[in-house]
Amino acid sequence: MSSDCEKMKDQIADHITGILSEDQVQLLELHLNECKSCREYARVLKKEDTLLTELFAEIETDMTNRQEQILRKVNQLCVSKQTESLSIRRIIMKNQITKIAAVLAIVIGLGAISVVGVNISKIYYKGKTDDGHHVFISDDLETIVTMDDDEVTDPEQTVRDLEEMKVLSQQGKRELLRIKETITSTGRLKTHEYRYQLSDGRIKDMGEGADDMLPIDEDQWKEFKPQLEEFRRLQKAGPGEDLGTYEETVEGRVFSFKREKYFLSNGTEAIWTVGTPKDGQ
Amino acid sequence: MEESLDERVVRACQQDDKSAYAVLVKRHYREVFALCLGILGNLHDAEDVAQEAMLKGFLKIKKLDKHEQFKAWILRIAKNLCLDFLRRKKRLKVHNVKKPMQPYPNTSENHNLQQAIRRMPQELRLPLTMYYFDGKNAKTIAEKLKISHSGACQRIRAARKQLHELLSERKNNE
Repeated sequence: MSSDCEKMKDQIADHITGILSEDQVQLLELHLNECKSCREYARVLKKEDTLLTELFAEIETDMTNRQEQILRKVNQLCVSKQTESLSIRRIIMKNQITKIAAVLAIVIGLGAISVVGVNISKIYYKGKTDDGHHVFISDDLETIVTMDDDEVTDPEQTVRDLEEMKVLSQQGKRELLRIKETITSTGRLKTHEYRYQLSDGRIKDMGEGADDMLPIDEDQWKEFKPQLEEFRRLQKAGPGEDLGTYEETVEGRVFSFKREKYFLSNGTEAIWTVGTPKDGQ
Repeated sequence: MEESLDERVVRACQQDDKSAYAVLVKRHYREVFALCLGILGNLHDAEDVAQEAMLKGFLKIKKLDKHEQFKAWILRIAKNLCLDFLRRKKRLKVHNVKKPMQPYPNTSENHNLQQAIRRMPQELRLPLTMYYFDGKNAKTIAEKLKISHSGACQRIRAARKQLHELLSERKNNE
């Protein structure tokens, strides 16, 4: 192989991928006629090119199926919006998120959530679920709040509190206390716990679905729920395997995250992460 | 100025016409998927994340002010989801370092090719994936990646040469 051959490799790659100019093609062909090693390189590259073209053609054939699958999921989300019980776009719960699975049972359509909307919408009390949670929903369905029975003595007062908290949230007047995340092989649940100070001086701590939570549809929830419940039982029984710590800046503040691993009965893992502000304030 | 199809469809979606979103899925899913595949390098991951991006787009469409920019907006969502996915995967990967490495199984050429694409660095995999997805048009790649035509050609060339090296390396190891 001559030193020319190294330069020719670029041209061969360009020729095979179809980006070599006509003039250069002619020069390259002259070289290929004389050089066995470059001919072999071109042959192999050509074969790879054929395989690549076939691979992408094969990927392309499933495109319609993939689109239809998305449209089915979109329809499920539409149905969930109509039935409200599936339309949860945001969860707010009390400090100790002890009833997460129960809450999610009515939060099947949990969506990707933005913390603030431009408009302040009204919040309505929707009554109690079968398992005793109080449910509050904003008229734009952006905010869904579930609370334990013992947290709500006067639903009308709670509505006023939640509306005030929503305004505080929009103004950024809240403190991020903790971030919790559970990842299993079938799903991911991430909550941010915020502290709000209301105008009358009361302090309210709330767990909210993180912004980057993605929609959980009914099918996924059916798989995720048992894993989540098993993970919570394991966690109550004792700490998991320590996976160390790392730091990450969230909402402009450095958080120290601690991770633990739990093994579920089906052989898969659940990763639990909790983050607290590094400055400890 | 005449309203584009995307503008009309986004407006319909924002007015709660649920069927309208199907038009946006048909028009833009393919490109979202190609981007995800280019960044992630794994077909199944790309399918999952591209789907998540389209669903997130559906849920958030009311927040899109510039209706004509749906395509750029949904691609940005997809890119952010891909990066988030890689960050999570990296964390999970750290946990599994004790697991013994599996030797490469002797599999089909197609599988080898997919593995090699997966091992490429993202900055080369993305143009290569887009190139073969878009009917081998370097000009389109340059526009999509916002780089010059010669820059696009250069990346495609580098990507092809690297892919060849990865495939040869693998062949020699078998």
